[in-house]
Amino acid sequence: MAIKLDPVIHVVSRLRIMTVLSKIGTQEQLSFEKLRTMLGMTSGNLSVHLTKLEDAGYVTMFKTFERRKPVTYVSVTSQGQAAFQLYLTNLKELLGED
Amino acid sequence: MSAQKTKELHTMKNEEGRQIQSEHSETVQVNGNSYPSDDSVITDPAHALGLVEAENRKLDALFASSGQNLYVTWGLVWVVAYLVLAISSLRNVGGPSGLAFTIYGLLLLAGVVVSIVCGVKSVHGRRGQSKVRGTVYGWSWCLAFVSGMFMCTGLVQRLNLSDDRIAILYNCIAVLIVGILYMSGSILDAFDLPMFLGGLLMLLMGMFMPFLSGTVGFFTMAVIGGGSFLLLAALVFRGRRGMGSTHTRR
Repeated sequence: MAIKLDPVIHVVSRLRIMTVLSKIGTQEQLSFEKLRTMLGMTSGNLSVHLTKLEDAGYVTMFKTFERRKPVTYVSVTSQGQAAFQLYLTNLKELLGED
Repeated sequence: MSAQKTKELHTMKNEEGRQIQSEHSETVQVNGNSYPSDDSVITDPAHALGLVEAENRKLDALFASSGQNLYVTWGLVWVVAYLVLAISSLRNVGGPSGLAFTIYGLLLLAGVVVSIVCGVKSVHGRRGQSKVRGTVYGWSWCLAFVSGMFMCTGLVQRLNLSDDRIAILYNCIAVLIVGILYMSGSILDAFDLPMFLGGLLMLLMGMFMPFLSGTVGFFTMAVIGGGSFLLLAALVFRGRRGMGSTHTRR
């Protein structure tokens, strides 16, 4: 059976986003700005990819206010974490690694 | 942490798997490796794995950097502050001068301020358990030292201790607090062996501190106490360099 890599994750930007968010875990949230700085992406680009991941149920976005300024926090969902782990497993299998 | 983009002639497959070539495509640089642009579907699975590994290394190095800053700060504070006391006690028969104790206090205060700034910076833009743990741990240091120093002051007044014994008491309590907090800090996240060993070294040093009075005690605190902080910083730095240099480009 052919190994299929999750098309939602298998894009450079979304793979990088999922790597960062999965690393910090489902109990942690990163602000949009912090994530943008860490990945060196533009706000527009990050926003587009986060929306796609959110539509797939892989990330959740929380909008709040801090010092009267709107702030968005992002975190990976359990479903997203599981999808990312499966993606990595499939990837390694595809490459013939354990 | 910046991902540099460079435009170049690039060959990739589109979503239907057809080979396409685009002169407008970009590459993303992560840890010195280049990967297809942000919006590209990844054609080479090895690139995908390389990208994941590169991001993980970047994150590990980022998380380690705040610990390294704290170790350097406290290493320098301990070395300088206790050397000031040691040199002063060598020059004055009755123990360190008032000026030496003032410099010592100011240096400790500077260390606390730098630690707070580092702590706030490291959790900026984050919410969740790690922020709670970091804040509580930071406060534990502050409260433990305030409590410890109050205990020492109370004991000094009640037991009418000599200057030499006062210095021993303060040194012992400081080493005990640092040792215990280091060991508990080592299990805050993934087990941090260097931090645990640093705490263990402090506790071992604490066992000998009652027998090292005056100048020898201050020198020991400067060299072994301050030195252990700087050694931890060096270990973290080495680890970070390792994280940054082990590329697995495929």
